[in-house]
Amino acid sequence: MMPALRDIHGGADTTFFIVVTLIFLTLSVFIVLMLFITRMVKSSYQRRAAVLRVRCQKILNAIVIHELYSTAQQPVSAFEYRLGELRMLTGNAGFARQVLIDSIMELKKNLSGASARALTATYYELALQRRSLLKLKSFFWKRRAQGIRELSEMGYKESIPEIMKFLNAGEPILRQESFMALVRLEDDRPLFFLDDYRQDLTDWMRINIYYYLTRQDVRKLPVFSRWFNHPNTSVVLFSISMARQFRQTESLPELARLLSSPDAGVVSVAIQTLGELEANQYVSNVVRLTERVWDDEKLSRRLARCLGRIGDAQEGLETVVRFLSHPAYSVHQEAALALRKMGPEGVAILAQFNAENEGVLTRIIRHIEEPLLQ
Amino acid sequence: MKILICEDDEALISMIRFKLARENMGELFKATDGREAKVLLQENDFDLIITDIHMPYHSGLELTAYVRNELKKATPIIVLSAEGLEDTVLQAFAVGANDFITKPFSPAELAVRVKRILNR
Repeated sequence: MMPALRDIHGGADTTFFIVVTLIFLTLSVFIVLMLFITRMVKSSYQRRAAVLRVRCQKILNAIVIHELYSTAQQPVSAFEYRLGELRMLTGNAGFARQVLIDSIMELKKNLSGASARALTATYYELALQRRSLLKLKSFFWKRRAQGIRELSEMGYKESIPEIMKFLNAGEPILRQESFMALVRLEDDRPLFFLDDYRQDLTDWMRINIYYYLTRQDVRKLPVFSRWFNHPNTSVVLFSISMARQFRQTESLPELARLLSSPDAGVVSVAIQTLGELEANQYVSNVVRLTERVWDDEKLSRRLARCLGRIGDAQEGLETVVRFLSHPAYSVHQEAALALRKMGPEGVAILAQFNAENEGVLTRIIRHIEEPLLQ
Repeated sequence: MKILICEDDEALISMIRFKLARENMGELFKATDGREAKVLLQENDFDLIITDIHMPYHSGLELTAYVRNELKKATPIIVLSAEGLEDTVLQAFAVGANDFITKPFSPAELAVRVKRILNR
């Protein structure tokens, strides 16, 4: 007769311990096995993807290099032949079609002209946009973002209404992807979707839009004053800075009105823009702000700098001199610099002020006159 | 003719190699980072170098300066970059590049530029 476990090891506690250990060991083996299998599947997937990518790449190279899509010398059938090869290679397998999309995207980002057009044509001829569109319905935001990126890269304008739905999405990356996609897709009405944009425009988005806009025909750019009264402050700040970057002087009257905005950030950027656009006609509007900005160091600095650009002996000079007695040192420095920019009269007044105030500005004057810092 | 292509984007290398091979441009070598490129440059004499600016370990600009200042070679160098900024272009020419191509570019244009440089 077999002895019971507790007879061998003595006691219920020991039996319990042994059972728990066995369960733990079994679970551990199971987990390790699962990890191993997952890893195997993943590596196998990666290996298959790598092989497929190389094969796709060869066919895509042939399509790109022949640049055959629009030339009369090359028969269209050659392009059709390559498409047939790609169809055979990928079939209807989602995995293979995704590898092909990735390969097209990877190659297209570095190419322009007929080569890029040939890749776009390949994408549409193989109806790969359907796969990208399907991703927009995915439960995972990363897949949605991937789909948006693919559609915008390939210029699929029919997807605009679908992409617009993500413009105010909770997930910031998804929001940014849809935003950038709309910037790229709506090239005939650039940035129109800002009208309804309610979220914060991040620095990343601003940089990307600016980069995109710099590559566009300046004549096609919108007049940014259109959004100067937008309820979303980040849109207002962005549009003012774009008006400045693209030197849209037609925005100046609207910009001058923004000086009375209750938002200090808007006023600050408006002052800076008026200065950089050399809007001398609005110098009195800027001067009138002196009392309001006096307690704000940053605004005072910006105002002094702006007057240095647009002010002259008749208007602005007196205000700048006043800033030399501002409580903040950085404002003195900006005011001294502004006076210097105002020409000989400003320089003389600066020297006179310094002499009358026991050389309090000597170090600043020496600093701004340093040739290496000019 | 021996051409070295220094670029960390495998897809782009493959495309450039394909195009240059089609045009019978000679023997093509590739380096996917600056370190690999340096080793190849020490061991071989190339007729042309095509390099991206942004690469791991050493940038294309560093590589260009290395060829000119340390290897003391006059090998023609074409710099590729996604940055078409004036400063970057000027910097590339300042360190000794012979040509500059901004990405995205046309493979046909690259081939024409390569031919022009090799025929000089």
